[in-house]
Amino acid sequence: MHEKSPSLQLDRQIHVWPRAVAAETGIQASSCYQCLRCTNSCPVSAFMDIKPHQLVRYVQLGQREKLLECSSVWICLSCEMCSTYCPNEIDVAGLMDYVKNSVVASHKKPAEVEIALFHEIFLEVLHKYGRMNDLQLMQRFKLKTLLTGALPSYSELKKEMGLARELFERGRLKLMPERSRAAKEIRAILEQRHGKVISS
Amino acid sequence: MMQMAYYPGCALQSMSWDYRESIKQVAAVLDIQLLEVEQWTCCGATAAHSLDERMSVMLPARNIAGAEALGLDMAVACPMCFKRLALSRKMLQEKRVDDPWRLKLNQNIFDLARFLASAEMLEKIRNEVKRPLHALRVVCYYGCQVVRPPKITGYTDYENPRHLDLLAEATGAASIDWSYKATCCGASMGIPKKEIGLTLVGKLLAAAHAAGARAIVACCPLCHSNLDLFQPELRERHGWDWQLPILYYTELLGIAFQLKGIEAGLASHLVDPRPFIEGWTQGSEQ
Repeated sequence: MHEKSPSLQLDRQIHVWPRAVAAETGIQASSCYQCLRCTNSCPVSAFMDIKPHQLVRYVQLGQREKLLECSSVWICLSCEMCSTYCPNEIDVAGLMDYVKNSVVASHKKPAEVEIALFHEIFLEVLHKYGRMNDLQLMQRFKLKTLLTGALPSYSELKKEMGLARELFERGRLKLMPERSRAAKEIRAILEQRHGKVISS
Repeated sequence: MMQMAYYPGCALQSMSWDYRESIKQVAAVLDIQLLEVEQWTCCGATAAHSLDERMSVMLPARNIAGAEALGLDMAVACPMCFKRLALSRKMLQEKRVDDPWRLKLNQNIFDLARFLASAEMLEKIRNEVKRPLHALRVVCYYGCQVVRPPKITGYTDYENPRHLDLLAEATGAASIDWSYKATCCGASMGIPKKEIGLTLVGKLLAAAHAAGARAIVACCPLCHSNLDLFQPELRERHGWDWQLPILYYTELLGIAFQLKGIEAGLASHLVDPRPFIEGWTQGSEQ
């Protein structure tokens, strides 16, 4: 830990990143006056390390590194309550996306690896089939998280297997994934993205 | 016969095939021909905009191109896809991304539920009801994606949407007012962070039950899966002695129209609605 809290070091540099964010996204974090409507309307703020109103404040203060390391942006559900109810029309959910995009583009390990991996694997399935498939997504995700060391407890595993079996018996699971004939076209789009989720 | 371009979305092609089937059946009764956008691909959903914004606009855009090739307005079944498509269209209109398809962007994108709740369609629906559900009390659950943000969806009633309520009432059911119409269900977070999913879904189910509902009417495949699939675990955790069938609005219409074709779909729900149906129609013998 540094002795001085970085949020109190006010120098000229502080304006560089907030301006870049505003220019790139069109979102004016500077107009926030900390009314907390975003945090109060957020259904998952209780699960966040940095609350939505604090995130906006950190953008104002140019604390990029702090935000790239926080878990909140990954916990965000993109339900857009915050963006809808902000009296100053700040797209808070858009800022969450911007930070997530930045983590990936700058090849940093996300604070919530499992959530980021879930997104990554979603795109992996799209790359292969052009469409999402629940079973493929679940299988690949489970395998990947096992490989990265997140072992589920026996009771948790039993519960999951039980649910999978019941879904199968009720005819809910489709074993053969559908493929769009336009998968090639979608691959071109997917391959133009910046960066990839780093999981280890 | 009315013709529309149709974007079902991936969920309907895999786990939520019950929704797809009920849409097909109901559209046939209402004389709407839904023409699938040719070779449609995924809208990118949450994964795309979380990881790369440009990609999240381009993925839906190629489907908008597909609808334009048909020259028809597009009906979208899944709220998530609807929002992503509408947002992509707006970004393209504002020229914030490049457009290799040279889109005209002059056709409408409709959320299917909203489309069916127009005055004209409601009239048609009322005329097709064979089995009014007078004894059924429901709450309607819209979720996030179909209403928010209003700048994208264009809805002015985003705080208190009514279109599903209108559809439910058209079947003879009573639609109860409640405060959780557009409160998030946790979306796909239930997979990587189960506790978040269980917490949010638990609140919704408890609130629906407390409001006196006997079923929840939904319009989103993800909301439907969450509300239905988490019920056994939540029942055990909270000691609930009740369960709530979760119905797509099209399934509710199908029940009221007495469509045999939706039965297999209903049977695929963890909370099977079929044993309850007779109770919902009591006092409605004509």
